[in-house]
Amino acid sequence: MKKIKYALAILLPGAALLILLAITSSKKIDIPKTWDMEEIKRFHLHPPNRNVKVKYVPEDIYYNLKEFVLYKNYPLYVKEYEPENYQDSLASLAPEIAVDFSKLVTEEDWIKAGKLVFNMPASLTPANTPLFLDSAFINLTGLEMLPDGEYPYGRYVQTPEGLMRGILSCASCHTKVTEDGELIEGGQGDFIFDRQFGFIVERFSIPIPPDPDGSVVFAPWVDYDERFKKWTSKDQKLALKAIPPGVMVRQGGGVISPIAIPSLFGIKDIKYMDRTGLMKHENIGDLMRYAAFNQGLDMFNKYDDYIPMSGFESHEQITPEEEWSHPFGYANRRYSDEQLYALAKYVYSLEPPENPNKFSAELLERGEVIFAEQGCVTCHPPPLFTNNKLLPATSDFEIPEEDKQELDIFNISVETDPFLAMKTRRGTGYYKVPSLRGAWMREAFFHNGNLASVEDVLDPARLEESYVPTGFKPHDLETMAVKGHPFGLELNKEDKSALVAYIKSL
Amino acid sequence: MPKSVFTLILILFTFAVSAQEKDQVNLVSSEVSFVIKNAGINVDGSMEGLTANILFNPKKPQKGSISGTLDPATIKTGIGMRDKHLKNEDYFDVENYPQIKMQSNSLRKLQGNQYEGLFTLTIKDITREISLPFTVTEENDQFIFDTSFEINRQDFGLGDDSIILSDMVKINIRLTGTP
Ligand code: HEC
Ligand code: HEC
Repeated sequence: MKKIKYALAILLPGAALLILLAITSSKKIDIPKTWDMEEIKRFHLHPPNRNVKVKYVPEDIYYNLKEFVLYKNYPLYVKEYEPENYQDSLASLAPEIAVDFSKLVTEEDWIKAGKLVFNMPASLTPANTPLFLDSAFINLTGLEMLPDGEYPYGRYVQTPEGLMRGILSCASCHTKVTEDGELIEGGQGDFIFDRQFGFIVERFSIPIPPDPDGSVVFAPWVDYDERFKKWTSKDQKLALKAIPPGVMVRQGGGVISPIAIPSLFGIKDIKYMDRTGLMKHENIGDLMRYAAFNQGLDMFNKYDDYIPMSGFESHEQITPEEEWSHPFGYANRRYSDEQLYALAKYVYSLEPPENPNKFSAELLERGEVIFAEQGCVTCHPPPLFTNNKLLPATSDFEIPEEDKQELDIFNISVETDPFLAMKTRRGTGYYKVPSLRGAWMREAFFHNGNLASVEDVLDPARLEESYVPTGFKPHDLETMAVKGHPFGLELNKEDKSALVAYIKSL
Repeated sequence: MPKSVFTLILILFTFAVSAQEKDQVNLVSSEVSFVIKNAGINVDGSMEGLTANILFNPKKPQKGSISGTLDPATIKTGIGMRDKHLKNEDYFDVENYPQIKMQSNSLRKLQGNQYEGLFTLTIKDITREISLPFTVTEENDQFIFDTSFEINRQDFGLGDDSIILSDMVKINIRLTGTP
């Protein structure tokens, strides 16, 4: 008895101290530093050409940039659906800051704030500039809107400078609208930004420079194919118009290699971000860095002497005042570390919608067996349905020694088109194995989104030059083989349907 | 070394070889297959290009010896790209190690047509001693050697830890030869 009392006397104050510590430390959240040069060098992969020296924007210059101010923002409607006097009523409101980050305490607080950051447009233009967003345009482009006429890819923002129309939030590209008009935040985006842009530049004869001279795509170490060298400004427009929902031009890949948009569900478990595994994902800070790079800063990566952002020759030119000329229209601003932390928390919290597919247990069992027999399971193993590894994009890519140490490589190429991985600024020499979770709700497959369904991935006809891609098909090609990934192509009809069912159940 | 001793060894050696030459078994055909579990499913594979040097007399197995080589570049598992992967440096690294080698150190009879051999098995640059049971049946004036044994692929640097692919590989070899 005495012994127990003695133990309690020691344990109780100890426990009290621990609880106290837990309480105080839960209040003070340790927000990682986004622009930490050591971390950036660890997380950002090198271009496939090892001779290229890459320099990132220095820390002090980054933190000297002005932060985005997260003003309260409001839905944007297709013209005919906009409530009467809507814009005037918004314009009469006082600008209001949406979140006080110093007041956030719980995980839920941060997630809620993150949702606002996710929806915060990065690019603002005054609301009274002309907008082509009417039903005619919607019908022409096939753009999805919500049942009440809301256009979920942009917002109105009331700022001290007046009412603005904003686009290019994370939500602009990472929101899906289903056929039933349901909005899925974090699903494979279906905003046809490029097609819309193509229509606009065509309709108003806006001149745009032919790629690959444009800063969106040019990689100085690449020798471009004749096919692209011949592209004119007109090709540029046609190229943009050829890009279907689920696929998007991203800076660094450009119109010559648009990319399938990923769904963000379950991203927390994914070790490499982007199809080419360009950025490692080892901690929440990496996701924050990912957002910072992709919302403008990667245009300032210096490749030897080349900075993609036109008009910039050195990092010293980057000041809070110096305007950016990003073709995507980003402001010369950065997110605050708090905004990015909240954003990352929100992205981690995204939950996929319920899978509406119902398959018989027998069919799924058969499908699972075929999935194993055909070797799919080696690269797409449960529970993530990816082995989280990088594969050389082509057998010709010689894996550098340091990569063998630093990266998780599965050393066989599936020999899909190597262009994105080898000849663009998003390139690393590798493609990652994409997760098959949620494939049932996606409409763009393989890195360029050339295929529109799981069935098409398993269709041997796609290997023929006479194939017409069901997803992204470049405007200047009538037909094209969607080569590589030669798995599961030879199955009989029953086995193939079982395999497709299994994949669509994940 | 004095010349006479050297000559003696030489004579003895030649004698030993010629004494065994009549036990030479000439290889007529061979089959090498293996089975490994991948995600709970058996994957069957095969290899070709076997060469063997067999000295075997069922009455004096301890005097015999069996050695052979196998060409890992001939590996087939039914999926072309998987075969290609198995040939690269993560697995057989066929460019640097074009042969798998096996060499008996001792052979002995167990009972009936059952025997046991201690072999050194070399895959890539890793050599290990394994003990394997085999049977020898005589059919139409031919010897048929059959063996089936398991190895741990990781003991020979074949691939990494995997929750999908099992470590143990079952190997079946059948050799047919004429005495
Ligand atoms: C203009 C469209 C666009 C905008 C805006 C955008 N993204 Fe993306 N995002 C994409 C595309 C396209 C990809 C695929 C890029 C690739 O694979 O190289 C992508 C990839 C990603 C990935 C990698 C996921 C994976 O599985 O590899 C993450 C994470 C991500 N985006 C988060 C965000 C966040 C957070 C924001 C807002 C800060 C954002 N994105 C803004 C289009 C966009
Ligand atoms: C050797 C590794 C490997 C094997 C085996 C493999 N895959 Fe893949 N899979 C990949 C890679 C890498 C990609 C991405 C290719 C690209 O984007 O260019 C991919 C892409 C896919 C996609 C498209 C997903 C998307 O979002 O783009 C599907 C569907 C798919 N695989 C299903 C299968 C099935 C079914 C099997 C078996 C019949 C299989 N895979 C076998 C590596 C593999």
